[in-house]
Amino acid sequence: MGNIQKENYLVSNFFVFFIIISSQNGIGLLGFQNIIAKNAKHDGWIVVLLIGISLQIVLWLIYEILKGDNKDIMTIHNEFFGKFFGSVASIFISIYFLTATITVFRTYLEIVQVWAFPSVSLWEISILMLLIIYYIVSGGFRVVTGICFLFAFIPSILFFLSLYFPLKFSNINNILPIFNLSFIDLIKAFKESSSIFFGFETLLIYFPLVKNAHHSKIWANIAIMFTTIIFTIVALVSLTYFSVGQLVNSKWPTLEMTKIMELPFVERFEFIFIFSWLAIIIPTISLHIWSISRIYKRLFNVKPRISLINSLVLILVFTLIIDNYFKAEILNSIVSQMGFYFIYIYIPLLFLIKVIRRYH
Amino acid sequence: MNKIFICIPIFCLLLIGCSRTTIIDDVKIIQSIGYDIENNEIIGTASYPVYVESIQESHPRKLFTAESKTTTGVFTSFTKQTADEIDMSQLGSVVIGDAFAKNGISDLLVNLNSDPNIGTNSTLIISKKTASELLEETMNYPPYFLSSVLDQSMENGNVPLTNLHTISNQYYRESQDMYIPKMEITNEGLIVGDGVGIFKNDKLSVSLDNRETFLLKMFVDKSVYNSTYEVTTSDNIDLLAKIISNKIKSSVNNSPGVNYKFNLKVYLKEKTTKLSVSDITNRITKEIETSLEKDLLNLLEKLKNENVDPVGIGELYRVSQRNWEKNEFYREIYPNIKFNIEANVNIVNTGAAE
Repeated sequence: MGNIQKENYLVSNFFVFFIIISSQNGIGLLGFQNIIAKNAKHDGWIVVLLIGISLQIVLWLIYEILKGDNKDIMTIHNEFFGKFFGSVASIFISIYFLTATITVFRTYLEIVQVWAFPSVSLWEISILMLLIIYYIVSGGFRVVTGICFLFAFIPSILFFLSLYFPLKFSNINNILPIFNLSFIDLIKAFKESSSIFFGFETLLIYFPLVKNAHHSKIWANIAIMFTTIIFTIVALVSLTYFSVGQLVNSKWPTLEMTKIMELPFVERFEFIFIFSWLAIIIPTISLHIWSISRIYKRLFNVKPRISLINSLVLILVFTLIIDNYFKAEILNSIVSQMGFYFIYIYIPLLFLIKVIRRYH
Repeated sequence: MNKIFICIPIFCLLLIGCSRTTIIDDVKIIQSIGYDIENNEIIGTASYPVYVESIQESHPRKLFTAESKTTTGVFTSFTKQTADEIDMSQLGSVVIGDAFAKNGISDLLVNLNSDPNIGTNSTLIISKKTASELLEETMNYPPYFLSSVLDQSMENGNVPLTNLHTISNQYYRESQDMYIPKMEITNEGLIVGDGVGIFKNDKLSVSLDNRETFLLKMFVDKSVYNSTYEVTTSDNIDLLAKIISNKIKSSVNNSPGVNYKFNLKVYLKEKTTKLSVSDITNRITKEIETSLEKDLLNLLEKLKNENVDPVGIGELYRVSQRNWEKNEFYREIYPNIKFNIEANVNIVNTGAAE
């Protein structure tokens, strides 16, 4: 029951590295310090590190689940749950991807509104951005991969440029005493902030389109390790630069941190930061939307273009419905909950079913 | 199909270019805002730089002034007083009147932090007189005079490094109180730095003079460079030690007590020719050390008696104790702490003259 792909639709397996990096660095990286500080205080960076390590295990589970010839999550669902329930499960995944995309999209627009253009109307920038996304996604998976590859290192470059300046004001004492949090706090912080890493689960969909996919595991591991290191460094610098109370009271600490920069040729670096961030969320959104149209193509043979346009329209509609900050906040927490249960409950569950089936 | 995709974004970009133009000459860039309080009304004043001579003649240079119930409400009146758009993104300093500071600045700090346009390296200043008087005076000086004076004296002088970031960092931190530099106008009409004001929670409670400000800088700043310390020796010679580097080690114990160890490198200036080499290496070093130790200890004792903690003694305890609790510490432990200070001075040089 494999779905053999033509060679010219495949990408080499080392591209998994870039795809995972780009699919992860959504909007979370701008404000996750707030969430970790709320729950784990000055030990937040440990939580980030632990999440990164736990994801290596999840990644292993994903590769175990997908073992076999060119399987993706849809065939797995059909195998495990039968055709009807399998399709329902796949549709739920597409809904999860769509809500995740809406959150990323909406949060980015909010940042643009708050920091750069307070008076701009949402639909103007939305349509402009969705046009770009349409252009990318309609090019197929190889174009999406290309975009992921192009923009994979933008956050690293931005942080490389901007994390030096806060060091003048940072104090290592802020993160002491290390491990001063209870187990319950740790679990809570873990649950709340794990969403910053999510997005790599699109691997379940594009897996058959990777050449020699099972050998790509090492690249996936390296990618998760890479983002874990970056996130931990950002968390460490933020925790030493800000006091915990300050982090709890600021919405986007990463942007706040760049406000201290003063260069002779550019006074306010955060504008460069915000607009470069577009290059980070576009691959994330493109990959998710591509995955949605892929799911419907595999399930019902719907033409990708139709499901693509539908999901873009849905994104636009929801962006306009979510017209204030509180609604966006609610959506954010819903998505991170969904993601948490999907990654840490549903994927191990699939793995268990697979193991049980093997011995029957 | 592809042509459309190229054309649409290009046209969009062109269209964006048509709207929302902001020409730099038509913007009133605010360089300093001042806040005073009078009969529960907040009085806001704002100064803006004027670069072109001809404008100066045609247009009298006056501060924007406004009354409001809220700190951001003052801008509503500002816009009524100018023909140009007001822009805050180049704000250099926020001046707080003495009365305003005593009344509490938490609302102001929260507002400054929540405004994405205000850079966190803008400075806060307490004015001994009202903020509007100080700003009025700065209108006679070149643009951004106030913030440059302060930046310069933090870099090369005796004022501890502060800006919006460090101040809000301390404001939200449980284990340290915030300090904001003070400025005043002398009788001759000069604007000079004059110590720092220390806040308990968000209210100004203690003021330190210039000498104490230097001692505070010794505790709180990572690098103390070019700061100067005056000593009078036992045989009445006035000396000036210029500090090159300062390394602090601190430790706490539960008796309760705090030990500070300073390792200083200094240049000795002033009247060095009257002293012999052996004098400098033995007696003078010792005398600078004891005098510095005494002064630093006095400062800590003074702050302890006033129950404020700008030095961050609480922070030292928080770092070493896992169950540190703010209220308990400042009520029970802080008033009983014994301080022990040790200074090691190394006179590196006495200048070029033999």
